[in-house]
Amino acid sequence: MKIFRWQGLAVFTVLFLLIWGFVSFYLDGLIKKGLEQEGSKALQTQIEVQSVGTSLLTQSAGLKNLAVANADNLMENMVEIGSVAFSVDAGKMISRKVVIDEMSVESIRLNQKRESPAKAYRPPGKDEDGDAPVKKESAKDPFGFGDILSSKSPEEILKSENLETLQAVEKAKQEIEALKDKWENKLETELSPKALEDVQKKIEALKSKTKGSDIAGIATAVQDLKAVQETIQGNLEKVKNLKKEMQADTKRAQQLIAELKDMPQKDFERLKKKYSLDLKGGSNILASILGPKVKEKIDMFWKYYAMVSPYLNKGSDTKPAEEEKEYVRGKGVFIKFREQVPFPDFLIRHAKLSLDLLDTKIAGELNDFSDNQRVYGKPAVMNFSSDQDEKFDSFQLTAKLDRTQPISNDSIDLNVKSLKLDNLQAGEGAGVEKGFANIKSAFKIANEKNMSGVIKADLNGLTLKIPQQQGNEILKVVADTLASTDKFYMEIAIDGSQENYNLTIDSDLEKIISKAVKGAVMGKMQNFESSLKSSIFSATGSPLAGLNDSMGDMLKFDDLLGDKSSAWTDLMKKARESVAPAGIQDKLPMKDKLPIPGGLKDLGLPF
Amino acid sequence: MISQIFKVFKALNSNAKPWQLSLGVAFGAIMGLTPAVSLHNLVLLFLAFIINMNLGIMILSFALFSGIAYILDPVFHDLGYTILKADSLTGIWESVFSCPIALVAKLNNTIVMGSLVVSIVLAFPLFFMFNLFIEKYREKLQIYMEKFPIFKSMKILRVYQTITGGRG
Repeated sequence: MKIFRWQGLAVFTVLFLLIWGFVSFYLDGLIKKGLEQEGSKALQTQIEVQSVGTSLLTQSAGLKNLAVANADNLMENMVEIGSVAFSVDAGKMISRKVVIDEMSVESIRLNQKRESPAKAYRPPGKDEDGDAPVKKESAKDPFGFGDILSSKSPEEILKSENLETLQAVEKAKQEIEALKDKWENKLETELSPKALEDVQKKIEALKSKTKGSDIAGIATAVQDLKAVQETIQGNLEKVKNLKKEMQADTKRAQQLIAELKDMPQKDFERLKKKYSLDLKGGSNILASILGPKVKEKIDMFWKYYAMVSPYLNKGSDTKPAEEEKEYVRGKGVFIKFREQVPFPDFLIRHAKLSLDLLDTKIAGELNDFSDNQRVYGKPAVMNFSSDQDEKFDSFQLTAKLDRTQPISNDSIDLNVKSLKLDNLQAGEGAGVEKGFANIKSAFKIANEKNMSGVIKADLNGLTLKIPQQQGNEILKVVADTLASTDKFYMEIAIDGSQENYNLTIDSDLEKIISKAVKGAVMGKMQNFESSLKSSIFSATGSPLAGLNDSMGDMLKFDDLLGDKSSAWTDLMKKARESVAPAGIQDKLPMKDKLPIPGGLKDLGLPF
Repeated sequence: MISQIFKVFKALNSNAKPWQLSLGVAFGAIMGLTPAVSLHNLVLLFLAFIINMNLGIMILSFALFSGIAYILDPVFHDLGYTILKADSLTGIWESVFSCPIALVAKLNNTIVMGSLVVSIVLAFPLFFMFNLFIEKYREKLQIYMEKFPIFKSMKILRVYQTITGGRG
């Protein structure tokens, strides 16, 4: 019996070759499917590949027409790549490391329109059409002036605008009326004239009691007097308290009226700012036109950055190494061990790139793109450059993604000389027909979060396309000024995180427009302002006067309280006189304390 | 299933050496207990083709132990995890896994490691026990078994197949 059957070797070889052939035949399809399905899930946006070609013998692979859809705009591809070709290091591949020594990426195109909508992997942005929410300029106001250049008359403005003075007057009026009602009610219930009359009657009764009475009768009268005087004293106290409360309410009402004094002027200032030309006129024109577009570009940049950035972070301290996954039946867990010779799991040593931008091809290269720069020791650097072209004199874009240190330090520098501007749309109907721009920008992104940088652009030889303005004189002036402007500079500064950044746009265009507008319409604007002021003061004069009347009523209540106080004081006097005539009272040692029993004792009466 | 059982008896009653059958059982056990698509199974398959062993028994053993493997999956994971995470072995594993072949063989996977250790440990006693069983079977049981009508009919069938050249 033979131990070995050598024909088995042939069978095994045939079987192996069959499997090899099967894998080779279906591998391309499997990779394509894997890329489209798993890649789409990973990036949360549709990835499409026209074809994949692999060669196991040469360990090379290639893709054709790769498209990554924009998840926020399904009718757009974020990136399209014509072709990708690369070969992998088979030795490293066995160690589950993808090392690409040389790669070629042709026809990279950004933000291309799709023919049909992409499949949604997550809900798109708030806009239904998938566009990033961008403030759109009004067709009537291509310069973003808002109501600054309104041609409304002061009367029309007052019809369409709410005057804060009138609202405040109404509020104050209501409050003062409520105070009036309160006092009317209080005076009627708490200080009714009937109480005064009742006490008056009691005093009259006392008077008649004491006339011709004996000493016992006088004693009873003194007791009655005491009760009457207590009633009067109580009412006097009440009046005193009411007076105090009234003073507080009067003060409040006066304060309300005082606060309203400056309000017409404030209304005027507010409406002047809105409808008249500000003295800093035109300070916001460029920001209004370019702001939304620049924001759109910044948001797009963050999207690309967020897409690429996580793949570089394996060695980062801030992003800990992938945790061992939980046990799954049949799959187990792969335990990671420290490598004796550490090496990134993914590395592209060198890639030749070709970018389709500005209707021209710009060559570039990518060096040392690895998933673990701390281990590899080199930052990823991408560089696109081009010499003179029909579109520009020179183009230089350098992006450095540096994760070699604990805190990442990425930078992007752009330098374009004499970039031809042809039919660039800025706002609705407005744009640059032709011209040149020198653009220089430098941005830094620290810790993958905070971006700061400046874009400086000198535009010259310009012909600006400005839509014809009808009717509005100021718009006409602006349009004419812009149309005759052949050069200006602008500086766009960005500072902050992806979610919250400051964008400032500075330009000398503002000064040019401001000067022209002021010169043309200053006199007219002064007349407008004067007319607006008198309209506001006239509209608010009568309601304010009405408030003063209400205040007058409040003061009447105060007078009324004074009268009541005097009336009760008189009654007190009368009450005393009803028991002891005025002449005697004056001789009493404690005349003011007559109702107090001690006072009677001082008289030396026998009881 | 019945035909597979017949195959077992056919193999047991054949002239094949006991080790040829036992090796099939042992190989099948390793291949069945460990994840099917792995490097060591490719090596075993290669050996199974060139070593003059019984492939039918191996396939049967593979099927049987695959079922057992499914039940023991959590045990394999725990064992593999313990082995791979043992502090005393860390240095060894770091050296082992610096060799690409160990990674290709997926030996750093808890189930692969646990099941491979169990199956290799089990394979040796299985081989010798099955060897012993075959010897005993052929010595004592074979004569009685052949008296069963079913096995008689099997013999008739074998004669018939010989005459017809296996076309029947």
